[in-house]
Amino acid sequence: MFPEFETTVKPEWIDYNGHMRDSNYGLVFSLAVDALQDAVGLDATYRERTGCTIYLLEDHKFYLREVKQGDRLRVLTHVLGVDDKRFHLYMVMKRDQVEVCIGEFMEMHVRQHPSPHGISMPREIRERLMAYHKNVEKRSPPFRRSRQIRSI
Amino acid sequence: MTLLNLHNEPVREEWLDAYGHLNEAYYLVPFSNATWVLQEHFGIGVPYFEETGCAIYTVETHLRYLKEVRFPAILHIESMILGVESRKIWFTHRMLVNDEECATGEFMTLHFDTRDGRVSPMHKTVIEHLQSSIIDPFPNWVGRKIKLKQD
Repeated sequence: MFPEFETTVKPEWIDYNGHMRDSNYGLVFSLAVDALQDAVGLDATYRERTGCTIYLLEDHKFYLREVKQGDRLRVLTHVLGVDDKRFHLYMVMKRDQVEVCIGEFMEMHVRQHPSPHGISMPREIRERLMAYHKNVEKRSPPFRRSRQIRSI
Repeated sequence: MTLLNLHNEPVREEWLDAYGHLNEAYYLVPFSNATWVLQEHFGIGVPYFEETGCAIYTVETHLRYLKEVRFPAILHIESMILGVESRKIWFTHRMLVNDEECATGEFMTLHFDTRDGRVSPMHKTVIEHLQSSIIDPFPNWVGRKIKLKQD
């Protein structure tokens, strides 16, 4: 079972065009990453105990459908890869069965003091992330993957 | 070759996370605000929307988060047009604080007629203005994809 996150589109997430603002798709994904962190042990207790946390390095999102206030959104998370310090996520945002946004994220495990720097994740956390990675290989969903933005 | 320096704005306190720095989810907000200013620059902003019902919809974004941004700070956004088709604009924003690059964003947008509910071509003069503004050479980070070495 992949960590799943659900939320409802809030009035303050709507923009001038009457649909969810582009940046708020990112907010929903960010909340879903929090849920994943909790699932693999990178939770508040861990962060407080170790002074380590997760920083986002890069993301690439495809906005497929408009989303309106009150819509119920579900985010499914897949792990595409894990190395010592980093993990690579593929997230699908759905309203009912319809994909509304797809995003790919590169995250880094960071110790914040004395100044933020990438640092190896504990083995058990890497293993938990890898377990999701194995699942995704078995499922081989029809991925819309990060690519060059170049259609012009 | 045109580098567009169109937008500056201060970091807002409500964009900060528990670490006191700009939260990842909010980098796109000043970028999105800069896109509105970019649209105004090319005559396809709010007055254009009100007159024609046509809007610019974002279909793809690719951001790189390069440096932490702490409060208080003034974000300076630099914009470059990379390409244009009758219905599409491909462009970038760079976010700088005190001349230091903190983030880059690459965007693809569609020109959407909200009255007809479908994608529609932009006016020829807008297309020409955008075409004459295409940056050359491209920054070297444009067009990359996300990957780990092992991917």
